[in-house]
Amino acid sequence: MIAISIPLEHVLVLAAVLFLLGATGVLVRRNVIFQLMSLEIMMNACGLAFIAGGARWGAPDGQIMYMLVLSLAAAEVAVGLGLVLQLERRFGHLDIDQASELNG
Amino acid sequence: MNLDLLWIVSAAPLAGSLALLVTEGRLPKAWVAAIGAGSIGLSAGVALLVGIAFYDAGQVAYAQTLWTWIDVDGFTPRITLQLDGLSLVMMGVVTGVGFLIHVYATGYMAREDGYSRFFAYMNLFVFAMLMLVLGDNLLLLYLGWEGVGLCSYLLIGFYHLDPANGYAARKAFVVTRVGDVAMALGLFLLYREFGTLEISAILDNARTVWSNGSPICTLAAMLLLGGAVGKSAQIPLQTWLPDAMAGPTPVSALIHAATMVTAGVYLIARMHTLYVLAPMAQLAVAVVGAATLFIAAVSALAQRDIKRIPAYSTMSQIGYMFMALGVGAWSAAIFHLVTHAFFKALLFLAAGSVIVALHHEQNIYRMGGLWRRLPIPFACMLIGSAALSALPLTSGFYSKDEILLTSFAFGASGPWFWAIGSAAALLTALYTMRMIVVVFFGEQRTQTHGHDGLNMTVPQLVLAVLAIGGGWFGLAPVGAVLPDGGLGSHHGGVLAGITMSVPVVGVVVGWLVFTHRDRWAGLRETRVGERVRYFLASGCGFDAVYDVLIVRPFVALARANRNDVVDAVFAAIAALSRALYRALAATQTGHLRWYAVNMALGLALMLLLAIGA
Amino acid sequence: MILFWLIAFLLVAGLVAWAAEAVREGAARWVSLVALALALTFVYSVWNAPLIEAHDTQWYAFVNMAWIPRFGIAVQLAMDGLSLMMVALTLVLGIVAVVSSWTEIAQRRGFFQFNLMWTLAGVVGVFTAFDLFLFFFFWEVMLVPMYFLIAIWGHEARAYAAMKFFLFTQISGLVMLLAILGLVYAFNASTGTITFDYFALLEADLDPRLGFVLMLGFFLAFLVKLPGVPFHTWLPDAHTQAPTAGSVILAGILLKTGAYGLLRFVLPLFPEASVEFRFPAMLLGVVSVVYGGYVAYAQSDFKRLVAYSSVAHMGFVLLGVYAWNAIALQGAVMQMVAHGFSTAALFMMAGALQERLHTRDMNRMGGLWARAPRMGALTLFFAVASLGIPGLGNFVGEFMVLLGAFAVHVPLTVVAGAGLVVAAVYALWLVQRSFQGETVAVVDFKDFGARELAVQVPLALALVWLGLHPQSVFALSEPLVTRLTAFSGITP
Repeated sequence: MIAISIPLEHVLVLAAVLFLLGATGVLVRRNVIFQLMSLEIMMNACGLAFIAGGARWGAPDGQIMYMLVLSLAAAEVAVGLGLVLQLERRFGHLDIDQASELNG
Repeated sequence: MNLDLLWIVSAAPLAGSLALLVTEGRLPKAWVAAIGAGSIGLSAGVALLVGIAFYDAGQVAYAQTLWTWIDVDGFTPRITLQLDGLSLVMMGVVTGVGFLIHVYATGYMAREDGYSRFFAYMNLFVFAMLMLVLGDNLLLLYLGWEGVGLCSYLLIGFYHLDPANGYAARKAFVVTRVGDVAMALGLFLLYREFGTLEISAILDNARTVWSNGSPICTLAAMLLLGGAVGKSAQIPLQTWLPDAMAGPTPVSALIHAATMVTAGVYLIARMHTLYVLAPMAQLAVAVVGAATLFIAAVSALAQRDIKRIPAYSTMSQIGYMFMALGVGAWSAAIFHLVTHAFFKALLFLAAGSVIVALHHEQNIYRMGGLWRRLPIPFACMLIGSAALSALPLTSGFYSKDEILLTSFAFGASGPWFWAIGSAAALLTALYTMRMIVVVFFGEQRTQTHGHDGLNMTVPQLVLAVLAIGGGWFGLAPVGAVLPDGGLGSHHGGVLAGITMSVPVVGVVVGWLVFTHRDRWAGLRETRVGERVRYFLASGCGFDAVYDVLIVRPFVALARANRNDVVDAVFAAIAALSRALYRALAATQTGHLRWYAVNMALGLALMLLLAIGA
Repeated sequence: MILFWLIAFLLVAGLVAWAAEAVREGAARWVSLVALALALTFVYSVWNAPLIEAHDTQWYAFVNMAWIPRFGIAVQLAMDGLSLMMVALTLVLGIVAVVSSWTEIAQRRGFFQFNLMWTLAGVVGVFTAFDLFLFFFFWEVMLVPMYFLIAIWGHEARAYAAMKFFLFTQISGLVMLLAILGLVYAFNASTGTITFDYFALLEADLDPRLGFVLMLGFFLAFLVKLPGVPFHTWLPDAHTQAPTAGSVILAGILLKTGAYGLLRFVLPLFPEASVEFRFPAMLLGVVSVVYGGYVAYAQSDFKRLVAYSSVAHMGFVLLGVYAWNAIALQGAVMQMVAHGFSTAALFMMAGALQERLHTRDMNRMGGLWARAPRMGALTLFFAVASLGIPGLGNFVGEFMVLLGAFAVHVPLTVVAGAGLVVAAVYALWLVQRSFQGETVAVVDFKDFGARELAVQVPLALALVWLGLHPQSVFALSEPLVTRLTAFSGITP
């Protein structure tokens, strides 16, 4: 196996770009589905950073953390999609800005 | 006879008052009259017996301790009644004249509502007045002092449905209370210096501890003078007395002529040692008296109310007493107090009879020609006026003569005091003649009705006798208590002649002027004349000055601060916290993306800070 | 044990009253009345019981039971002359409160009596607790039911007033708690024992600066309760909005807990600091006297006027306590008792007027004497008592406070003397506006009947008694006053 070493920096830059893309998505999209998808991207960006770190230092922690992120993401999607359904049922749309009744 | 009966003298009026209060006016009027006047009669009778016993025993002073009032850390005022020459005289005046006025009042008030309440207050007054003159310590004296003030308030405002009477009553109470506070401070000072409030102990201590003219002694004397000035309606606290005439006429006779208003004279005479030790304070007493007697006499000339004329006259006559105290004519002051009680009570009772006969008309210019219709009040008024003007052989002559002649001999300023006193004596004769002429002579303007019962005429006749003869025998008892006297120090010659003839001149001039008053109408109706008349009628403008300087700012500031400016501080704290709450609540928009932005920015900020650190 | 059972009895009586109302309408007030009367006879028997010797002093009753031994907290209740007097006052005014609200309260009467009794129990606890933790406990116990009394049965602005009352007392109570803890820690630091025992803490040897700060903590709590300017503003609102019984208890008793606290805790625990703080405290007292009276004059609400007059009267207490000589201290104690009677009676009168006229606004009163001479005469009597006419208790209190204060600080005494003039102005104005002057048109205005007279006349007689024979009060407070003046070691 030929070790193709990708510099850590490259991976981290990629993770950061993904994270920012995801964050931007969360902030600018009003559709809840898209926001959830953007959240997934952010989480995966974090996962990527963990993997890269684990590989760089040859430690298993990064991969363990990724497992954690994966399960978290799964749980989040489960709950999130449930909320989306409720949102759809109650408001008849998926616009998060319209669902602002919990204000001070 | 036993001196131990002394307590009954003061207990009888108190019991009468309580009986009338508890029965709440459900007793028939005859019973009320019997209790109201009877209790004072009992008191007067016992006072007479005690007086006789006092002389039989040949004692100088007698004290009866009832119980210890307070006993804290050496502060031990007792409820002790003390009798000596001075309090004996005062007790006699209070119960004797008081009884006559009560009898008169049973007739005068017969058609009024609140008959029982009236006598309850009157009896309470007599009780308080007796406490004032019999108390052996200043605290008990102060109890009587405030007590008579309270009764004065209650009786001035007796016709309480008219707000004006309530105003007069409150004014009387508050103005005298200003003096009372000064007096209380005097008591504190004396207690701090001597550790006691017992009068005889204070006087003894003062004599041994304080040197002549000592500043503390002067201060104490001035503070007590403050109390005296308030209660006795002297300048500068005199403004309440004319308004106090809002009360029923027997009240004016008893409280605002014969007894309460002379309490200040009694106080100063009682504490005479302090004034002897503090010549400055004593001079102040004389000056206050001289100023008051003149200003009040001038003001009396312009009054139109048949009760306000004797009211200003009372102020003026008490001014004479103060001047007498100030020039060291101690006994003469008390002598004048006694004769004044006789003739001024007589004047008020006679005026009361006129008022009743005219359906409560009090304006003298709506009277006139009454001498034929009301012969007895006319005769009484005449006798009272003669004594007031100090015509020779009347009681007022003897006492006022003493005062004027002693003043003349009072150092360098003596002749000035004499001159002011004599000038005011002329004015006294003038305003008395004005009242007599306008009320009883000329054309009758208002119909009279009804006749006084015996209960109203007899007291007047008795007082008339006293007003004439009350001065013939001098006033021996006080000699044992007060230094020197002035009593019996007759000067001969020109001075005595002038002093004696001034009132006679005044009466003659007054008769001539006021029987022909139409001739002077032109003068009176000029602009200046009107102004002067208005100024004098208002009591020389003191009320207006106090109103602008004190009353109005007080009321305005109170109104402005009705909602309590201190609360504004706490309201501001509350408002601030509410504003903070609103600001924080405003960030909770409910917009998910707004929260997300903030979270992101916050994270970014924290990262930046972490990197920066 | 007696005192413990006394407090427990009042607490249980409150519960019984609550339950009784559910069984039979109108039963609760009878339960309270009987319970208070019983408690009063109970106190009377304690008074006549043989004295108990403890901590070098004689006590009418003394009990000490472990509660939380780990922190040195005990149920230590004791009763000396001052406590006895205050507890008796509490129970008497409790009866006044029950009687004065006999017909006023229409809703939730059982719960009303429950709150009343629990407040009274708390107050009795405050007056007898000799363990600082226990004291704080009772301090809070009396607060909460009082809050409910105002918030549930109060008048138009009750929510605002109740909250204001609660915040003021709660915040100041918190400060006191911190001071208590500070004191206990300081004591622990120097001796190694943790205790809340009053008698142990009396011996605490404090750093002067710390002592001053702790003293301020206690002082603040009591000043708010008293109340002194500038922390008085909760009082007019609370008094005005509270139901009659609430006002009677607030003015008659709750304010006294502040004065009691000064006498019992601030002076003995922090003598040096208190001496140092003497002048500012006297100044606050004088300011309260003059300012309270002055603002009282401007009020047109009957209850509000009386409430502000309480500020003035308690100012005399503050002045007397810090003048700190026997005469002034006895005067302050007398003023506490006399003010309790006179003000309770006036608040009862305000309640009676409100019940009859449905207003407290004096602009809409006037000339009521003609309709109700008994009410008029009694109002006049109590107004005159509160302006300090000699022969009544209030005069003895005020005169002795001023007499004592004069020896300490002349200018302050002179200014406080001016307060007497102001008192005359507002008290007579009160009578004039409500009972004299032009008659307002009122229908169906009943004068006092036997029930009201049965309360008001004894109060009036009590004031006369206090005025003519004040020695009966002085004898009870004498031991405490002697100790206060002696152990301070600093006399003017």
